[in-house]
Formats: sequence, C-alpha cells, structure tokens
Amino acid sequence: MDQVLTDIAFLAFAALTVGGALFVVTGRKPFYCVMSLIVSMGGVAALFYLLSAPFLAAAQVMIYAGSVVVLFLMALMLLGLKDEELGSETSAVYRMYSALMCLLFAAAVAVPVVRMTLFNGVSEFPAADPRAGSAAEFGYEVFSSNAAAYDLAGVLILAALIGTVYLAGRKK
Amino acid sequence: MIFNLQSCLILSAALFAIGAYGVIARRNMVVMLLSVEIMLNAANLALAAFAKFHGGALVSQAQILILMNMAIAAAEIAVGLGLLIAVFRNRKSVDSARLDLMKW
Repeated sequence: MDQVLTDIAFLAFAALTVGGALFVVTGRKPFYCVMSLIVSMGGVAALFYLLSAPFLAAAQVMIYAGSVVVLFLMALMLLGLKDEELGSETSAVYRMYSALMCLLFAAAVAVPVVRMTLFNGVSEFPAADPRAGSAAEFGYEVFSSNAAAYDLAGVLILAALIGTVYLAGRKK
Repeated sequence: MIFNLQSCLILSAALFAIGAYGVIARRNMVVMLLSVEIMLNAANLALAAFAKFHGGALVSQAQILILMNMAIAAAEIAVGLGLLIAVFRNRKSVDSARLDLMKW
C-alpha cells in the first residue's frame, strides 16, 4: 500500500511537472509561461520530497518559485511588453523539426535506460533510512565539510547581483 | 514499483528535452530563459535520483551539490534578466530574431 501510494504520487507530480513545462515552452504570452513555471517548480519540489530530500524541496520552492519567478515577473513588468511587441514565433516547420530533434535527444537518454531495465530489471530505491536525507544531516554536512562552498555561493550571488544592478540600471 | 531510478531518469530526460525545445524553437527571450531553468531542474532531479539510489553515506554531499546548482542557477538568471533588460533598452524588442547586428 505504501509503495502504491508512492507510485501514484510520483506519477501525479511527474505529470504535473511535465505538463507545466510543456505549457512553458508552448505558451503565447510570456506571463502565462512564467505562471506555468511556478506549477512546474512545485512539481519538482514534490519530487524532491519523494526522493528523500526534504530540505531541497523547501529550498526549491524558496529559490525557484519564490525568487527566480519573482525576478522574472519583475523583469516582465519592467519590460512592459504590449501585444504588438511580442513578435512572431518561428515557423511551424522549424518548430516541428526542433521538436523532433528534442525527442531524439530524449530518446538518446531514455532508450539505453529502458534497455538496461529490460536487461537488468528495474533499480529499486533502497529502503529509506529516516535520517538519510534529513535536514539535520544536510545542515551538518554543509557547515562542517562544505563550509567553503557555502561561502563561495554567497560570494557568487553577490557578484551576480552587482553585475545585474550595473547592467539593468538606468544609464543617463 | 513505478517509482524507481529508471522512471526518474526518463522524467529528467523528458524535462531536459522540453527545456531544450523551448530554447531552440521559441523566439521570445523571456521564454528562452524560462526553458533554461527547466533544464537546470531536470539535471537536479537526475542527481537527486542517483543520490537516493546510490547514495549511502554521500546523500548529503549530493544534496549540497544540488543546492549549489540552485544557487548558480539563481545567479545566472539574475544576470540573464539584467542582460535582457539592457538588450530591450537598445533594441526595443525581446524577439531574438531582432538581434541581427552581426548578421552579414
């Protein structure tokens, strides 16, 4: 029963994520694409929780759905696109060709995975150790052996912020 | 039984392909940046799936790598949007086909 519920949850959130992503890449108005990205990020956060990464699930919602999407919306509002400024999209032939190429790319990854499954059987996840991906252990690792990475990420974000403020600031 | 490593990898491949389609086939630069975000999330999902399957004692290290990837993605999006605003000021359009100054 536990396994069935996990399977149903995985399928539901996978469908949500893929559906949201599909609407992002095919939506006409950019605002609707950004809203659809929120849905997709929420689906990925739920998948992180299923994959024993509860801290990453929360971080996903906070970073992507909370900051990146808000940044997109602010940039969209700054741009203030009107309908005639949206521009045309690529031709139908080009879109079909690129869809075919992306399908082939996904197949290049998925076909060996499926063949390995047919040859070896599915790789079941090992039984979840309740402490395995917990936030306590994650925090311990971050602040003990990866403290440098943590600080450098802060420096990186500072550099990005300074660059963005300079790029997007008013030039008189 | 549906929730196993192979399903997560196929989902990650599908998400990456959808993101790649968005970058290739869309001309609106905002949507292109959104598709790059989708691709980054696909990579994070694949890493999390492998961490759960093969992790053992290194699950936290993999999750730290994923967190660093998220931080890099956030920084990259900030810079990308700054660039987009600067481009929009000059070309008055977010259509990538209008960026043709270097075309012969």
